[in-house]
Amino acid sequence: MLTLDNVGVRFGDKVAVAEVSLELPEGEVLAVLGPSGCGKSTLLRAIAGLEELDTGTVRVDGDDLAGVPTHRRGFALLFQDGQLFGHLDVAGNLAYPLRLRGASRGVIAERVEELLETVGLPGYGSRSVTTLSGGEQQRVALARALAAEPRLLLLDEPLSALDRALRERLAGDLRGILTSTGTTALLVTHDHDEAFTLADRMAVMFDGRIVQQGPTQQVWTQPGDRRVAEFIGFSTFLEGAAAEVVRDAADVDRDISAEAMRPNVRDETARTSHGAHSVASRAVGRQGRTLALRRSALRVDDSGTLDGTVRAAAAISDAVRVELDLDDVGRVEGLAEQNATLRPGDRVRVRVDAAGMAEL
Amino acid sequence: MGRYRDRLIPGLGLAALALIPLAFLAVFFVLPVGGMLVRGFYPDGSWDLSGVADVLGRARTARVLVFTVGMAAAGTVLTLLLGLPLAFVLYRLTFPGRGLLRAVVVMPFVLPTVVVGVMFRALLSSGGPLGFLGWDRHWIAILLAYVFFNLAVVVRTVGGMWAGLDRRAEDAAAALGARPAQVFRTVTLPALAPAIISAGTLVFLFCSTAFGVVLTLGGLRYGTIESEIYLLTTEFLDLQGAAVLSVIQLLAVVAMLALAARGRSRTEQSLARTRAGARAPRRSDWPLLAAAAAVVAFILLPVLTLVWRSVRDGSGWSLGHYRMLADADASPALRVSILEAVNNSLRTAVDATLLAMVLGLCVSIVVSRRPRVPWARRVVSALDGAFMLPLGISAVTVGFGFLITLDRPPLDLRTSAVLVPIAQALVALPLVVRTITPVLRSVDPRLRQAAAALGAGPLRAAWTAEGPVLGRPLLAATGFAFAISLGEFGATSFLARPDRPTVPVVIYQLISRPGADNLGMALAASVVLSLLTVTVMGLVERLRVGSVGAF
Repeated sequence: MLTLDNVGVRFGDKVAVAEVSLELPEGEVLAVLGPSGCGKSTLLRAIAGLEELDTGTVRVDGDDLAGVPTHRRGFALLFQDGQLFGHLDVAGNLAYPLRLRGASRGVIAERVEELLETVGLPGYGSRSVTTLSGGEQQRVALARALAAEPRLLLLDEPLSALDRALRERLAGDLRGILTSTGTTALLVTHDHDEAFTLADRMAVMFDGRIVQQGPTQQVWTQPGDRRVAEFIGFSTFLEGAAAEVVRDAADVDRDISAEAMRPNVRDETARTSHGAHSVASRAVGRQGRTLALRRSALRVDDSGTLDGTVRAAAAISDAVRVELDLDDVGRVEGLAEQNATLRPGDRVRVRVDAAGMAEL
Repeated sequence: MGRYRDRLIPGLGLAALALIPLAFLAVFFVLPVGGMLVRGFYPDGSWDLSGVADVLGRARTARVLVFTVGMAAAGTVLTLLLGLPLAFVLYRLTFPGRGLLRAVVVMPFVLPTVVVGVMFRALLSSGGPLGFLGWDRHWIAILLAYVFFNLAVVVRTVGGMWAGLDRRAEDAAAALGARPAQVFRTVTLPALAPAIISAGTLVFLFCSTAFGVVLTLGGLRYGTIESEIYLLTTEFLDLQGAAVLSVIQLLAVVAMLALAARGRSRTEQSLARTRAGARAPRRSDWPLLAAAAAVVAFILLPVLTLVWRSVRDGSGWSLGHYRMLADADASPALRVSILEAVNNSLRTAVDATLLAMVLGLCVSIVVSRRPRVPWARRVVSALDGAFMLPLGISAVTVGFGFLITLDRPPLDLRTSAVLVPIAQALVALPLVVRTITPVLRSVDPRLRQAAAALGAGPLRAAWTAEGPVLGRPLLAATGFAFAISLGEFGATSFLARPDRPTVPVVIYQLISRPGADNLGMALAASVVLSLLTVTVMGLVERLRVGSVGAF
């Protein structure tokens, strides 16, 4: 549906966006993920027609949008702080795009109610936008964007201004609304959780360039290089012998946990063949590669096969973050159960969960 | 007891601080204006309001009111129409030379009104570049001068808000399908409304109380309320008529100031959460750029004409007009040489500036406090309003009020040289307060509380929190007050002793007489006075306080 080909934007001498090529199929959500200042918002504005392209083309369904002004592109923009029109009430904000299209009063009233229902704010029509909480403002802004029935919805850090709990809840709601309305959307964000929750596809952007793109699940589990891996939440990087120790432990721990989950089934062949398959596929070219680990890959657990010494522990929202000295491996970061009481110097066993591992 | 004392003393200190300017306002503003009104309504020891209906019933009064309001309305609309594109170009676009252009636009506002009058005379009178239009001594000339003078108010006030306006709201509207014109009408204009209302009100206020411009450009042919008050008091000695007009003007001014204050508080609110959005010009901006260029040309034309004509005499280039400035006998219209008048002006302005600064600082400190008790808050905001009053009250009323109330013991100041500086300080005071107060208000009160929590006493805490930011606004306000005092004409024309005139008074005397030499000397004197004020204001502008002309 949306095709970017070699898009570049520059401000004077400064190149903000370079050689960006992206493909967004109808009905899907693409997240452009990158640190602040990487040029992702500029890319979004360029797609909206708010910045002039230096190179490349933006196409929708094959039509080049060069020369098509913003207001004729049929898109909608959603900013992190909503940008509601302060001089209009909630209903007035939602009615704005409808009025631009010359909808009749009756149609507008009906559609406004419907949209408020969709975003979970029924009856809010006559409220002043200044009395709304941050989350409510974002919902109204989303409803206003949807009212335009955009071909493409552009979201600029839609949830970043909200506090954590609200952000998680609204992310789920937003995903549901985008799916149920079949909206094609492009989202830029620096928050990898936001991208993971909302997007079907993901593109990682550094210094104005896309360094990796693909289905969200794929980017999430197979980051292309260390920088991407660090940005999407991998915290420990191991090489050589240390990496080999953890890989082997992962193989053993996977077998144990598979066994533990099926205590009565003893499917020797399947287990062996699975193990043999994974060992064989890993053995090829894994020497010399870096092993990247999320915190969740290393669990303090008595059933684990690695031993280590606790250096520091701190509670986070639903677990305990632990810094460990793993024997034969070195300094790593892992997680422990929320109720674990760990002190520096404690000896613990560590289980490896392959789901949080990636080979770079 | 100790805690009680610690809270009482700062409160008493503030009250004492408020008392000094309040006493000044009472003696030199309320008393003269009141005295003028009493003479009008209470002439022979009894109330006489019969004159009210009489004055209001006069055909001439109706004509004066209609002319004043009509001209001020036309001037306001025209200033807004020309000022908005200029505000956009100077505050939403970035390009080389923008700072210089901003300074050019602000310049007219600080030029003495009499000088503005002389400029338009030079432009429109026979022999001027636009003399063929026949607009000399025409109401169009007055209208143009209104616009010239007030553009800075619109550009500064609206531009300041526009610069801080988040451009993403406009982007969102455009993405939703609004054409550029629709975006402007439905998003930008409503967001700018407080600033536009505030600027429009002030422009209307300045236009409807303009005196020097009307007098120099129209003579007494066109009566505005202000010039009519002048005429009634000085020519016809009709104090009752003058008092009635003064009251009408006072009521209108209070109403407009209240309106402007509302717009201002909303401007301050909305400026709290914004980010900058200036960008380089695009091809689609050229109509606005062209409009802005035309407005800048309109500003420069009278200025350049003044300079050009001041160095021309009948035969060609000449500095003759300037040579005559030192000569006391150069014109029968004068009793002293213009250089001596410059000397008078400078001395008076120094005194007036000192006075305005001391009083203005007191007022600013008091009105920038945000007490938690509701009644105290109301008192503070009432004080804030009270010290804005001299901004709009007829300078003529004040000047004449001085003459008729401060003429007997214990306060017989009629022949004293302090009257002129006092009147000028009164005129400059609101602008000083407007320059310092926003800066003081922008200091987070928690900074003071933090200092107090660390053990600083009230004075020390205030000094720690607010002292460091005060330097620039104080200097800026000093320059502003000095420039205002140098150019003040309305009150000074009443109060300056004939043997000690200031430059604006001399210029007016010159220009109200016929003769090429008189005009030439007026031109040269205007250039000198402009250079003085523009230099002072240029220095202020370098301080980048950014509040000159913005209210």
